[in-house]
Formats: sequence, C-alpha cells, structure tokens
Amino acid sequence: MGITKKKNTQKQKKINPFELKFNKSKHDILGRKKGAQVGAPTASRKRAHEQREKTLGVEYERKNKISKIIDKRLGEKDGKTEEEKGALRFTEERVKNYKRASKFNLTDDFGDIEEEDVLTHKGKALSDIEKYDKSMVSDSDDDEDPGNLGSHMVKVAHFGGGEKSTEEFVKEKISRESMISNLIAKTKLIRHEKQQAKDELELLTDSLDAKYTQLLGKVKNSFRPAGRQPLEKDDYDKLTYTLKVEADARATPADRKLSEEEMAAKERERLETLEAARISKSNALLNAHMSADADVDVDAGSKADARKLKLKNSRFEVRFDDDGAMVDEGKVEKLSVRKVAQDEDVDEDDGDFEDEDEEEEEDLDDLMEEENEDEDEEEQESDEEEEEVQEKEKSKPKKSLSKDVPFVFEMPKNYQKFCTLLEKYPKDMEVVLERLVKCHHPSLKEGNKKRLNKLFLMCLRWFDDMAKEELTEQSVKEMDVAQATMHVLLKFDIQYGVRCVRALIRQHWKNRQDKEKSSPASFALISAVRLVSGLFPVSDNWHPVVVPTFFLATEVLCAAKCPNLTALAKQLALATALVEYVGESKRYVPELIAFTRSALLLAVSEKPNKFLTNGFPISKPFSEMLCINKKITTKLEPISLKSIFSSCQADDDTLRPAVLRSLISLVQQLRVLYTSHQETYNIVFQPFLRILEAINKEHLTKELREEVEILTASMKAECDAKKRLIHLSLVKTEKSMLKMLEPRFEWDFDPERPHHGPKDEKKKLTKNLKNEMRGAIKELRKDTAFLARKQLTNVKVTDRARVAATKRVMGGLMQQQGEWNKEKRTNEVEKKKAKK
Amino acid sequence: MEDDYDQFFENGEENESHNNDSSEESDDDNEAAIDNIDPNFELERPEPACKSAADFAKFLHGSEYPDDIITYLKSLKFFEKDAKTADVVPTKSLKQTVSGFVKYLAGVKRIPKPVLRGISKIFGKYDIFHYIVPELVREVNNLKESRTAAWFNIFNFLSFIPHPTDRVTKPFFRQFCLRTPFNEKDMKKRKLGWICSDFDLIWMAVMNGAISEKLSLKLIPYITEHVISKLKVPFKTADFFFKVFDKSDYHGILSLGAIFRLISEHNFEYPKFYDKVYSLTNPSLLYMSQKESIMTLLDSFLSSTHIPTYIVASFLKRFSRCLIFAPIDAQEPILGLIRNLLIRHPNCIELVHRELPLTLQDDPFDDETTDLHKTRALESSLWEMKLLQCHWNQSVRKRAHFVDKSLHKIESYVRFRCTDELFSVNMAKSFGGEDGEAEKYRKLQDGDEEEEQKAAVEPRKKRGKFGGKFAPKHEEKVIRAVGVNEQKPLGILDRKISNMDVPMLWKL
Repeated sequence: MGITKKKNTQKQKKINPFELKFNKSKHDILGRKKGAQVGAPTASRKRAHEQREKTLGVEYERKNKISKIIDKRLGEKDGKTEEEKGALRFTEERVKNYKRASKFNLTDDFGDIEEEDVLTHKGKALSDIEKYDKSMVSDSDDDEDPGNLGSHMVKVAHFGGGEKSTEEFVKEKISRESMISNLIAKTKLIRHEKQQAKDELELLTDSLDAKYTQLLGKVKNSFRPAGRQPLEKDDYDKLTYTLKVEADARATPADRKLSEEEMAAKERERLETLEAARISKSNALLNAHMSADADVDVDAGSKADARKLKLKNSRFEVRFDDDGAMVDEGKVEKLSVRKVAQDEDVDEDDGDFEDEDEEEEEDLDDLMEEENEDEDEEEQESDEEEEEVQEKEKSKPKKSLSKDVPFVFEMPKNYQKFCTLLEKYPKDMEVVLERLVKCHHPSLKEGNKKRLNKLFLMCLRWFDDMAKEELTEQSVKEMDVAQATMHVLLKFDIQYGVRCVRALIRQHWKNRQDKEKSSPASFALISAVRLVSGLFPVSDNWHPVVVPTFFLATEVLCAAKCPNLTALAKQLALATALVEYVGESKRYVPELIAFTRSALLLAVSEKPNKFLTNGFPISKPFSEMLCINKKITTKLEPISLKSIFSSCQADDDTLRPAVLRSLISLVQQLRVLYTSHQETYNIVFQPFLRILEAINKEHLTKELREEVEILTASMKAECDAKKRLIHLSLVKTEKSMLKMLEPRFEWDFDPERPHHGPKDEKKKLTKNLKNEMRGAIKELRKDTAFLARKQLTNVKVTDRARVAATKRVMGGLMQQQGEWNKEKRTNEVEKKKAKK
Repeated sequence: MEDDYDQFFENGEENESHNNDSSEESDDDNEAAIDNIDPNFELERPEPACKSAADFAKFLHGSEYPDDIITYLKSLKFFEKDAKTADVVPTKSLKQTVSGFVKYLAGVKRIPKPVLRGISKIFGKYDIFHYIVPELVREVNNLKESRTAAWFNIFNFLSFIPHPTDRVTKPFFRQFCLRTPFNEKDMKKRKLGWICSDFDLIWMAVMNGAISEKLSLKLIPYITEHVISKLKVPFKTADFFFKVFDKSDYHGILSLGAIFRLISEHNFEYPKFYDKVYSLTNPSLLYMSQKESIMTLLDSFLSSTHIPTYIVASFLKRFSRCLIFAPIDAQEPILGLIRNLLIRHPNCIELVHRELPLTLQDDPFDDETTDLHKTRALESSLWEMKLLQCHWNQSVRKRAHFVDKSLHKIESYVRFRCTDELFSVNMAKSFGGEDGEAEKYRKLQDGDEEEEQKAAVEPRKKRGKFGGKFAPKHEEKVIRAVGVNEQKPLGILDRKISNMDVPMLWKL
C-alpha cells in the first residue's frame, strides 16, 4: 500500500496541487468500496478536450467541405529562392524519369515510403541473387551488352562531365587515348577471367551430372515414377483453373445495371434510332432511281437523325404514312397545330379518367362508353386527319407488311383506331403492342401512365371481342397476344388493371343474372376465367379479381342446364378451367365435385344415387346422354372447341366418347387434387367409385376402357387406404400452472454478498444499460458544449479580425482627417497671413 | 304497368270506400237512409234486363275500371220476393252475375294480379261472396289440373279475401238495395259463423281439387301461413299435404313445414315426422332456387331443444354431408345451423369432441338408411368440417373452423345471402393500399375542406343510427395487397396443370 501511494504521489507531484479535488467521505461504511479519493478535474477535462479536438473537432472543421486543395508545388511554402526551387524540381524530375526507366525493377521503392519492401529469398535480399543470375546468363553475349560495364567505368567513361576530382582531371588531360586503351585492356582481362571460371563450372557440373546418372541407374527402381503424371481433371480442378484464368474477366465490372427509367429511355431511344434507320432505308429506296450510290443510305440516315433531333426539340411528332414515308413538312406543321388542340383534349379526358376512377361500381361497357364519349369529341377533330390517312391507305395498297413495322407508334386514341392499327399488321401484333408499350413507358413523359391504362382497357376489350367472335386459330392467337400485353401492362398500374378485369367479370355476372341464367358457359366466359388465372395468382387467400371470378364460375357451374352434349361439353370446359384454379392451393370446390358427380351419372343407365345439381335432365333419353351403347370404331379425337362453341350442332356419336373421356380425366384430376384429405376422401369419392363401377364398359374403345379402369382401380386403392378414421377431439390447450410460493434455498449463502435471484442477470444488464445510457447522454451533452465553444471561438476570431480591420481603417481615416484638418488650418493661417 | 294498375285501383278503392262509408253508416244506424223510397218497392219492381253469365264474364274481361262494373251492377235488381214464401230471394240476374263471375275466374285468360285485387274489392264482400262460394266450389271440383290460368285466377282471388276473424268486409248489397236476405235477423246473428264456413268450404274445395305442381308450390306456403290456423278443423288440410308430399323434394319440405305447423300449433299427431324430413334432406335440395325457404324450414323443424339426440346427430351428419356438395350461398347458413344445433344439444358435442378419440375402420355413419335409429351418427364425427376448412371461399373456411375451438354458449343467426349478394360483397371489398391512400390524400388537399368535414361527419351519424347493439364496433379497414402473376401467362387454351397420363382432350 505504502509503496503504491508513494508512487502515486510521485506521479501526481507534477500536477499542481491546486488543481486536485478531494472527495471527502463523511461516514466510513464497512464493505463498501470507496470511490476515487482524489481527482484532477482540470487535467481530465483537458484530456477530454484534446481528445475531442482530435476527433470531433476535425470532423467539425471538415464539415461542409467536400475536397481540399493540396499544394504540391515544390518548395513554394518554405519560402525558398528561385534557384533552390529549380534544383528541387530538377531532382524530382530525375527521380521520376529514373523510376520510369526501371519499371520492372522489383526492388524499386515507390515514392516516399520509407520502409521499402525488400523481396527476399531464404533470408537473402532478392537483388543479390539476381545479380548472380545476371552474371550467369549474360556473359555469353557480353560484347553487345552495354549495361555490363562496371559502374565505375560507366561513371567515368559515359558521364565524363560534372564534378571530377582534380587527379582525374589531370589524368584525363594527360592522355585520354591511353586511358581508354587501358580501360579496354582491363575489361578484356576481366572477361577472360570470367570465361575461364564459367568453363570450369561447366566442366564441374557435367562431371556431377554424369555421376548422378550413374547413381540414378542404380536406385531407379526404388523411386516412384518420376515426371509429371497426366492428372485427370475433375470439377474442382476445372473450377480452380477457370478461377485462375478468368478471374480478371469476372472481376471486370460489366455495364452498370440501369434503373428502370433509364432502361425505358434507352429502349425508346433504340426504337427511335431503328425507326430512323428504317425510314432512311425506305427513303433510300425511293431515291434509288435518282442516285444509285451506296452512300445515299448514310445520307438519308443522317437526315433522319437530324429529323429525329428536330423532333425532339420541337415536341410535335412526325407522322408517317403506312409505307413509312414521311408526311411532308407543310402538313406536319398543320398537324402540329391540331396536335396541340388534341393535347389539350387529352388533358381533359385525363380528368375524366380520374372521375372514372372514383366510381367503383361500373361495367366494362360503362368504362368503354365513357372513354368513347371522350373520344367522340376528339374524333371530330381528328376526322380529317384520319381521312387523309385512309386515302393514303387506299392509294397505296399494302405491300410487304411484315417487313415494315414501324418502331415508334403513337397511342391510338380510341378502340376503333386501336383495331385498325392492329389490323394493319396482322402478323406482328405482339411486336406492335410491345413497341407501343415501350414507347409509352411512364417515366418518359407525363400522362403516359394514363395512356397505358387506356391501352390496357383496349386490350381487354379486344380480348373480350375476340372471345365473343367465332373461334378460329387467329382469334385465339390474338387473345394470347392480348393476354400477354395485359400482363406486361399490369405492372404499370395494378389498381387500374384490377378494376378493368373486375368490370369484365361483373359484366359477365350481370349477363348471367339477367338473361343467360341457365345457359351453359360461353367461350367468352371461359376465356375470361382463364385470363384471370393467367394474370393473377389464383391461390391467394383473398384476391379482388380471383374471388369474384370464382363466384362467377361456380354460379355458372351450378345454375346452367345441360340439356345436350354440347352444353355438357361447354360446362366441362369451364370445369377444367376451374380445376386449374385450385391446382396449387388444393382448395375444395363443392360445386365442382357436385357437377362432376352429376355429369358422371349421365354415363350410367342405372343410377346408384340421385343427381346433385338440378341442371341435369332426369327423363330417360337425355339422362343417359353419356352412355355408350354402340361400338365406336372411329379413333378418339379431342373435343373440338370450334364445333362446341359454334352454333351448329356437333355429331353426338363422335362427341360422346370424347366428352366422357375428358370427364374421366377431370375426375382423375380431382382425385389427385384431394388426396391429402385423409378423413373426407372416402365421403367424397365413394359415390364416384360406385358410379364408375356402374359404367357399362362393354362398348368403350380400348383406350377409354383402360382409362376408366385405371381411374376406378386407383380410386378404390386410395379409398381403401384412407379408411382409417380417428374421432375428432379438440386439442386441449395446456392451462398454465399457478405460481407456487415455495421457499427458494440458497446453499452457498453469504450475508456479505448480495443475493442471487433469478432475475440477477437481467438486473445487471438493465443497470449496465442505464449507466451506459447515462454516460452516452453525458458525452453527447459535452460534445455539444464543445461544439458550441468551438463555434464561439470561431466567431470571436472573426470578430476580432473585423474589429482590428475596422480599427485600422478608422485609424487611417482619422489620420487622414487630422492631416486634412492640419492642412486646412495652415491654409487658413496662410490666408489670414496673406490678408494681413 | 303494375304501378299504373295500383294507382288506378287505389283511386277506385277510395271511391268505393267512400261509398261504403256512407252505406256502413246507414247500416250501423240501422235506419232507413232513404226514407222516401219504400224498401218493398225495390223488391217488387220488375227485373231489368241483365247480361247472361257468359256475357258478364266477357264484360268483366273487357271492363277497364271497377267503376264500370259498379255502374253496371247498379242497373241490376238483385233480390225479389219469393211469390210463395214471401222471403227475399236472389233474382235470376244475381245468379247470372255470380256464375258470370265464376266463369270469368275459370276462364282461359290469366288475369293480372292487380286487376284481381281490384275485383276482389267488389266480389270479395262477404255477402256476395256467400253466393259465389257454392258456385265456385262446384267449379273447382270439376276444374282439371291442366287449366293453370283458371287455377291461378282462383287462387289469387281467394288470397285477396280476408278471413272474417281478421277483417270483416263491408256488405256489398247495401250499395244497391235496402232489403236483402242479409238483413234478416238470424242471418245477422250468425254472421261470423256462416262467413267462416264459406271460407272453409272454398279452401277445402281448392285443396281437394286437382292442383298442378306449380300452383301447389305457391299454395302450400300460403295455406300454411294464412289458412290452416283459420280453419275450423285444421287437420283436414293434412290430407292435402300428404297428397302433394311426394311430388318433389321441395313439395315434401313445404308440406312438412305445414305439417310441422299442425303438429306444433294444433296438436296434430304425425309419428315419423323427423324420418320424413331426414329422408328429404339431401344435397340437391340446396341447389334449388328456393333454398332460403328450405333452410328456414329446416331451422324451424330443429329449433326444439327436446328432439332426441340421435335425431339431431343424424341431422348434423346429414347436413355436413350435404355441405360437401352444396353451392356457396348455402354453405354459411348451414354451417351456422350446424353450430347452433351443437349448441342447442350439448349431448351432440360428441360429434366434435371426444375425450377418448377412437380409431375407426370407416365412418360408421350410414348415409343410406332412412331410419334415424340406424344411422349410427352418434358414433361418427364431423370430419366434413375439416374438408370445408379448405373451401375456396375465405368466409366459409373461417366459419368451418368452429370445430377446432370450444363452442360458443349462445347461438348466432346466420343470414342467408344469395350469390348475387355475396358477389357484390366481395366486389365491394377494398383492395390495394397505396394508390387508394394517395388518391385520398390528394382529394383531401384538393377538395373543399368544408365538404370534407361534412363527409367525415355524415357516416358517423349513419353508423349511430343503424348501429345498435350488434353493429360492428369498428369498421373493417384492411388493406389487401393485390397480387399479380410474375410469370408470363400461358396461352388461353394451354393447360396449366400437366396431367401426364392424359392425352390431348381439347383442341381448337
């Protein structure tokens, strides 16, 4: 104790005792730790200040400063003379040059780093070994190599100028020639010696080699096969190899990933350039008879570019007739005026669109109508223009359609124009739509989002119209295109898309409610159902589009009557569409099961149970419409949708097995779908099994019979497997026990120590946290105080400078005034004197 | 169209009531209102020419306003003094009128309901009705089933005639003549009696007649609701109900409803009532357009807490079996009914929860038998609910989860909502969050503040008005994210599920 105290006092002696602060303790409590008795607040404060100065102060000074200018001029700061500066510069230059020359010198130091890395080999500096190597290698071509002259020699012979010792000066003066001859003789001598040494070395190594081979011959057998074995390369090796070789390639940064807007802009840019090129090409074709030069192309291209630039600058768009030729300037200007008018219109109908958005309850038709109303006004204005275009269309028959799809499109104003646009390019509809979308990316221009919304609506209507039309491959293809486009468009405004599709569904629903209550599903409806499953996730818990669609589909499935085979086939098509809705989520659709069961009953003449849904005929000839009583000879064909949905009645005999087959496959799907329901599987599928067993398989074709049998067998197996049932019972929730107030014993009890409770750890941590928090707050407070002080000093400094400056100026002024006064006075005195 | 009728008939009614008022006054005061006319003169005056029955029927078809009929009737002489007995007896023209009216009803043409209502204001008066009844009964007994229009006319006409216990109509003949047979004392004394027996007579005749299926669907509920309890001997209707029972399931249910009423209100004994109901309950019942009434009937059948447990259990099983095939609009009410039944009959809790769950080889419940003793429903469990927990509709799924929780103490009523309503409910659900929010804020900034405040205040008021005790405490404001498929959609005709072993089934 005493010793340490002494030490402390010795240390503290340096501190002014007046700066010490003593903590007096009033009572001594046993067992309590005493805090520090003596503290040096000023010292610690100073330390803290310094610390802050180093960290926070630096940061404060750097605040709002982005970069700093480093004065790298040589000797400018040190106030050196011009000559000294020149010398410094010269040396620097030399050093730089020297570095450049010895680029491959590994030992070279880089810049001003003091501790240069010395490459070593077995503890020796690499440079030493290198030198040795060099001599080994280079002596064969000594004569040519100028670098191998001795340093001294070089120094003397090459850079003869400069400072020389007087001796050398004298020597040189005496005989330069003899000197040189002497030198040559010397070097020759050295070379000779070297050569000799080398020969010796060679001889030695040769003898050693001979000895070694002799020895090797004797012990060869005991060695492993020498030399490099051709290793089989496995994946790992290849990988390492590629990593080794291609590491650079991977590391080099690719093009930066573009943001969405940039992508859109880029895409549009690309399309525009392509368009310009296309136009230029067609222009070139036009001009071909005038000048058959190849560079016309380029010329036209540049022209087109210029036009594009102009187009960009002057906001109005250039129109092309359908051959891609440009409408000439005068017209363009005329159009531009109109265009402005239209633009205003667009704004107006944008407003309308907003109004539209507010209404939730509306039909697709309403949506379309409203839009059409807006457009009617526009149309009147744009009628002339349209006529013009149409005239041109007439005058120039469509040629080479697919080749000439323009790259830039204007958004069609209404549905009719949309249709005409698409009709113009029947083969490239998807391309047209894709480009249309790309040209109107929302980030490109204000209002593009609205335009895209409009496009979505038009696509939906197109889709619906196609579905209502007679079914052809073309129409189905167009529907696919429309669907794909809608899928793309949906990303831009989900809400609007959802509203539109909901409107379509609502329209179908209303139709069902009003007139077609008991008619089977139309193709438009089925395709709408499919569209929804294509655009939206069908397995969501609740989805604004999918759930209403579900309602629609199940309602149709329940309510529609199936008086004949075609109607049944239609319903079946709907059912297969609906199965796909639950394919992933495995949700249970009672309507679907009921429908399938009732439909399957049609294939049985003696019905084991009753019809479930009431849409099926009960009377005899119709209630057995799926019973196959005649031998079918024709091959089984898939059901032709065209024939089902066209007005003409299909041949029942060929349709019957096909329908039965698809029904069987539907049952199969359902069976697979609901296998996971352990308890209820039997309840659902036992009746199916009974019906399936009752089907008269006598006249079925081989394939069909096999399918039915497979289904029956698999279903039977499944049913047997799932027979075991366990009664339902509620899962009991464990009630938490009451807390017992039993005594807790502490075996290592020590009255002097605090108790160990179960919450000790937590208490400790909270206390720590509290302390830390307090400390941090204190620190922060001190930081702010420090910053304030710093600011104050800054202000003071500037104030002082200002005051000094003012004082100086004022002093000067006063002096001037004084002088002026003095002069004045003397003048007056002189005047007075003169008067006198 | 109908509105016009109504309007017109309302006017007519007013007129009539005006007339009636005056006549009633005189009736009540029992004084000869028209002193200067000798009542006997009327009886003695010569009978003016009248239209024959067929003509009158035609006239009724042709007449546009009840006033026309009244004016025509005014020109007639209804009663005369019998030469022999000196009693007041109906004249030939009255008989012609009555039979003409019956012909009119039993015609080929379907008379619109509003017109009939107007006409029933004239011919439904108890006194003239007294003459019509025997004629009509005769007609009804001979009426064939195929004559739907006549049947409907008669039914509609009868449905407009109130039972005397509800309301006694005003006398008809008072408008036209002073002395009628109805003025006699004994007639007056037993007035209610014979009016009631008229009512009984005609309804019994209708029930015994050859009724088409379509009409019986309307007739049964009407009779159950309005007629049974009014009849002197309600059991007589039972024959009718048994007759229509087998026509279809729905008929069965409806007539069971009537029988249930007989049982519960009139001590009718019908031993195997629940067996009958049970055998009628099947999934196809829930596909009918009348499912709402069916469900309310089923609910009322099982509303008693004194039904034996085995019956309730069988019904529970049957209902859940039905649900496996039931359309969406039937799901929730039936689920509610099942839960209520479980609450009503705590013994049936075995179906949902067992202390010692056994492992069975098969569901012991026998769906086929119609004997409620043999269904073994009590040994089974409601596994069907587990399936419904995977139903495609969210609310059904939620509701089916009741088997996993402990039962509520109080029954709750589930309102039937037709598919249209369910559809619109789902369409009205809010969806998508961000855009809507943005829109709202934009509107808030753009719109008038005052308007906003108004709009903000109004709904609160409304809630206060319509809320009440059971109103939801807070409005459901859930932002439902709208999902969109990431992948590119397949073609419209492409299959999304590949079923490997199935060949191409559909082509263009």
